[in-house]
Amino acid sequence: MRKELPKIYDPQEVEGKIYQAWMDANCFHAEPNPKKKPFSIVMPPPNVTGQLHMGHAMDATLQDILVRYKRMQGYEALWMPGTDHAGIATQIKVEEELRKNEGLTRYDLGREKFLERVWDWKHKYGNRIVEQQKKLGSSCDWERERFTMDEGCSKAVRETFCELYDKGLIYKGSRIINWCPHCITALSDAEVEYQDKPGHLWYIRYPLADGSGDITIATTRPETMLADTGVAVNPEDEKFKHLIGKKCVLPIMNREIPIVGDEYCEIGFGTGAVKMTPAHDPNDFEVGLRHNLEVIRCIGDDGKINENGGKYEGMDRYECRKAIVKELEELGFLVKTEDYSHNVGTCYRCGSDVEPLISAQWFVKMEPLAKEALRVVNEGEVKFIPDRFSKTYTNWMENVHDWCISRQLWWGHQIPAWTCEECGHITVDRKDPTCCAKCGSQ
Amino acid sequence: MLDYFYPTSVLVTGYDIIFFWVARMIFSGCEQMKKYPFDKVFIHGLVRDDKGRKMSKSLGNGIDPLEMADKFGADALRFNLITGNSPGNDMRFYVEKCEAMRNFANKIWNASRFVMMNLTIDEVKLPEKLELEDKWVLSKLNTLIKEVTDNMEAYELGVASAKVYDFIWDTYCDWYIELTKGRMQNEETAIAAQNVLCYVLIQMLKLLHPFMPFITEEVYQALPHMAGDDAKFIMLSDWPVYDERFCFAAEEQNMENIMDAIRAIRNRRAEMNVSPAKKVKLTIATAEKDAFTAGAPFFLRQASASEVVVVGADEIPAADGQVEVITHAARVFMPLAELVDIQQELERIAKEKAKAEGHLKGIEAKLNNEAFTSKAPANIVQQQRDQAEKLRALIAKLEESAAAMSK
Repeated sequence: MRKELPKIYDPQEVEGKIYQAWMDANCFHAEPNPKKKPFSIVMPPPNVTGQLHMGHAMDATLQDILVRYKRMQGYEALWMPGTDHAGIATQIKVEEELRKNEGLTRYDLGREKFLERVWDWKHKYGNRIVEQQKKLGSSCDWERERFTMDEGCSKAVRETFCELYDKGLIYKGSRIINWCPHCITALSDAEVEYQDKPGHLWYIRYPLADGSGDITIATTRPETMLADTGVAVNPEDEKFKHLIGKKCVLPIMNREIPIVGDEYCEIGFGTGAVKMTPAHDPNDFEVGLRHNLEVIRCIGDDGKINENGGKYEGMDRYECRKAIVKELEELGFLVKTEDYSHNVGTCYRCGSDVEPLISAQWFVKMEPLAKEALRVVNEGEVKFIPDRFSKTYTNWMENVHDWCISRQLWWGHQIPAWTCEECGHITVDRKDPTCCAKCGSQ
Repeated sequence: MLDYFYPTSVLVTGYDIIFFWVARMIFSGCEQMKKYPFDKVFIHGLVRDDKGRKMSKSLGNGIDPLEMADKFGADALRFNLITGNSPGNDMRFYVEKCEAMRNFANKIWNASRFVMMNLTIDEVKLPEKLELEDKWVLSKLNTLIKEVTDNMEAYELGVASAKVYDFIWDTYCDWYIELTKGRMQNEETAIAAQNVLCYVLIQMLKLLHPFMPFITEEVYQALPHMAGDDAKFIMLSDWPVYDERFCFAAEEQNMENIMDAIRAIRNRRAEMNVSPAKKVKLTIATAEKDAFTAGAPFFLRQASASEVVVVGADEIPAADGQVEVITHAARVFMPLAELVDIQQELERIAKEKAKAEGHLKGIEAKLNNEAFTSKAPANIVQQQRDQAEKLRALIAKLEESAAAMSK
């Protein structure tokens, strides 16, 4: 007896029932099958914090269409599902809950207890987005569902880190990184959103050390002048080339700093002279390397002025900015102030202004990796559909910077590196070491 | 697992993720696995609101897909997201379109129920003898299968789904079902018709399944299946394949010519306000005498014909008292006297004209009143002016119709 269709089509009534029937009959499962050709899609894992939004719906629908089509064409079709632990996003969510419900921070709990809370949260809510994908009809092989912090993934991350480290492709370096003082972590270039914001350009004169005059610089971040270690001008600049090699005196800190010639300076841009703060600006850092400028850091991880800021120590960076401008004015060093709109990097998660800071972080050397990654696309082994996006990819890959992979977070894969308290040597290992590889101390 | 499935076939993602993920996956795969991670990267655009803005919390313009699924069905949401969109480009989300897709789902449901009403077959097998309309629909289905498959291979999912939609709605529901109604009365011919109806329905459901999995599965479960292809679930059944044997180009063309003529007749009758219940004699002058003679029954059912006479292309009846409808393959003549009761029609036109003139007089009085034009808001005044224009046009048309009829 074949079933009859009711008069009205009621999706609510039908969908759940049908999906369950598919699950019960294991319709979504795939196994290596020599009699069939494989077709596989790995789902870009949505964040475990995620609520299904229209973008997810689009993604899921497209993938499901392809998988169902290929399955019907006789392929062994695998759609591999999973969720992403989403380091910063998840941690912030749990911290927020902690703050709201218990008035505590993660430091109050300590790392171990805090992580327990995060896993709890994951078990409670992490499945939500999976259930939502099922509601849309996603024919994923749910038996094989993965989580980016499950045992397999954690092992793979550790193995990969060690391999790359051994090959010299991972290193600990000093770099200007994008620092979010609110989230207290480094951000990769891709996690910084640039916005045009209104600000000011302050023109400040630095007196020459020999008393023969001044050199005037213009800056949007006067608080960083506390860490200036040089002034740069373009070597071809008629206005300034006679000053190259001389010294000038940094107001307020009263430190003598050299005037150097570097092509980075654009003749006629601003005043033509640029203050150099190697610890606080990526370009200044490069110039500093070229001319052996000192590296002094004046802003701490918390966005406040540190011990190198003299009497401004402890002040919030923006409060300091106001105070310094006032003092410069009173002392007669402020030449003029202009309204100025400039591009500011903000943290993609919390929106705070990102502070470019010198910091010891872990990096992946990209140049050797980019070669092969470019080849496979340029030679058509990996195709983009539509084709025009391969340009987007190659442009980025050709200009890629080393990848900062370390974050100051608790929820995530820990970098398998130990620093010896005795000799300072760093040991990187797949297994937790018991003694220092260099000096042997425990 | 890795040996069999890696590299994977395709990565699907938005263009905003290329740096975050795609690039990192590619170099990681190359370095760690010594082989790139996926053959293709399929890029889609963003879903924007109906005004073209990005959906964001701050704008409060986000639309919850689960809400849409609850309201209109997951199938309707899925179909909405795909149809009419091209790879790599952003799309605008219109809630009305979701509603329209829900109506489409209902149409499929109703058509399926109709086919299943009084179904006497347990298994679907194409009959030995195929009628003209059977060959027509099977030929068109064949072409659809080829085109949709090609589109899918090229990742043109929006184009593919639109073609399936058009076939289901126009070809199957609006025409084929109607064309078979004649055969359903007779037990013998009914079996043949049922088989073709089910066959085409199943193939359509299969083509639609990747886009609208739920409704297609539900209907499939209720239908008899094809002999030799008895998959328990449509999601595990065989994808339709193009078959040379179902290429009936001549029959397709003949049927299209007949349908063109039927459409033209219906349109003219609608223009003239003739009720479908009123049957009139048709004289069809055409070079395709055989085709139109074979198609005569269709004119009887679909074009409200009382009688169909097919003559050669040069055997045109006298023009007097005939309403002529022209298509590229035929000229159809209908006697005016049979179409309309001229006196009644003239009276009706006169009544309508009088009503319109009265309405126009009222509006003109308002527009001539300075107190109104100066005090009322500008858009209201414009509205009245537009309304007056419309009425003047209507009156002119009515006068034209009356004149034509009095000839």
